Amino acid sequence: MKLLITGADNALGECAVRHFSKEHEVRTVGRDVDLRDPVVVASLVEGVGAVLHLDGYGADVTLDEFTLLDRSARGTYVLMHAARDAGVGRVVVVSTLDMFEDYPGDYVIDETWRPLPKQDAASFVPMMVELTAREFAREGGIEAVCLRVGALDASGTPEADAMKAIEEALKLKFNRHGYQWGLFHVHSDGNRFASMMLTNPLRMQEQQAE
Amino acid sequence: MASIESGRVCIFGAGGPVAASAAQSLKNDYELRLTDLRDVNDILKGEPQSKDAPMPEVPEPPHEWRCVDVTDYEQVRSAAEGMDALINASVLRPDPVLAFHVNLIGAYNVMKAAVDCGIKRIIHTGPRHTRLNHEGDYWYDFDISDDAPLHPGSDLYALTKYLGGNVVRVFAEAHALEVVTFLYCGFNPGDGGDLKDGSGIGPYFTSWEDTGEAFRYGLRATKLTQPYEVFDIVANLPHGKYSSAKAERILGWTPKHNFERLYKSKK
Repeated sequence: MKLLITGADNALGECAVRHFSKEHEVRTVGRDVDLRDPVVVASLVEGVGAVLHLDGYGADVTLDEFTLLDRSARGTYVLMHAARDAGVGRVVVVSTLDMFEDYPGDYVIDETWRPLPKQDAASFVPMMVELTAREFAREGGIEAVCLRVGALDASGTPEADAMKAIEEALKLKFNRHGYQWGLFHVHSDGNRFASMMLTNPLRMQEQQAE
Repeated sequence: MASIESGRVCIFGAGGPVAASAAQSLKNDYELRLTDLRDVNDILKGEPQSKDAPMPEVPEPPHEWRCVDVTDYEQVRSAAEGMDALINASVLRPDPVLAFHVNLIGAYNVMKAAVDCGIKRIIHTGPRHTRLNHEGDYWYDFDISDDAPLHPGSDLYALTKYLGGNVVRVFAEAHALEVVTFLYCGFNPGDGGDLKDGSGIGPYFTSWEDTGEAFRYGLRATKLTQPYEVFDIVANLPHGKYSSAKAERILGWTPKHNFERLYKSKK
């Protein structure tokens, strides 16, 4: 399958490019490409089977607040529009579990909990990506899966787990009618972050047991 | 929770009809700093947003007009300085770039300025779209609560305002602010204007006069139950879909114009 990977030059994106290049034809987009440009994005999604929208992972804090908010929201808007228009089957967006840091440390948080981003533009980036992608999925015509991940290490979401989760998100079948949106927490610390969306979400427990 | 009965209020988006209505209602009791991207005299050379939509007035002292771009934080921060409350009535609908700038980033800037200036009472405004032609809208539902989550879909105006509203909520809850969000949909003059008797009316309309008066109640509210409260500012219409009951209960605001002659048969 031909995959478009945005955010290809952030930590998660670099990992995804390495991983998915082995079995897929990968088209990569880094931060030097402005996803807010509809003409550019239309050419990027052409012929693509799925999009991994990783641009929102690890906001580029060198950017000013205006640009952070605009890129995350409008960039996702343009991307989802173009993907839908091009008939892209699935968009996987990656968000961050950092949005839940302000809950007490002994709470076990799953996907039903309200995100609590900090009140700065960089912290709003994953929320803007999630909400925008979700609204496109709600309207119909495109399927989207959102993965909330932690830091790419043993304390958060090890790289192998993140890649496995994305693989499964690409294959996930929606066994229901209505809008096709999935939301999953992907984290190694089951005492802090749980996933209640499916009995065995994205096979993470099997992965950890191996 | 203190009622803001007087003092200084900054209105962003003062060139639009919602803010123009608000200014009319507030000008005798508050000192207003009216702000918009354009100068009021330039705005007055143009046409109203729609027939019968209010236009701003050139303010007389102690009120003032200031040109402020809500997408520029420093300008917003400067305008908010020394205020007792802020009203964000800024909006931009059709442009796919500026809609994000004004409706999302503008909302962020106003909230950030409120926190920086120690302002707790903010009135935010936005649309409640009654029909967006997707399965997540509420068009076929009744008894839709003020707190029913907005489902904008990919509609540019609805989505960008929705994103801005989410940002406002995060600030409100994190800083224990007193944010009142007014949602509107359609507007008519209180007497229905040129509309004929029995010509019908949609389920969510508000008179321009009631639109403005609601802001007085928003500033004076003392019974907000949470940092971010949403209110449908809507006439009492018999469709059974939307209601002003929450605004009546918590703000004490009731619509004076309910458009009976429009939905009653001429017979």
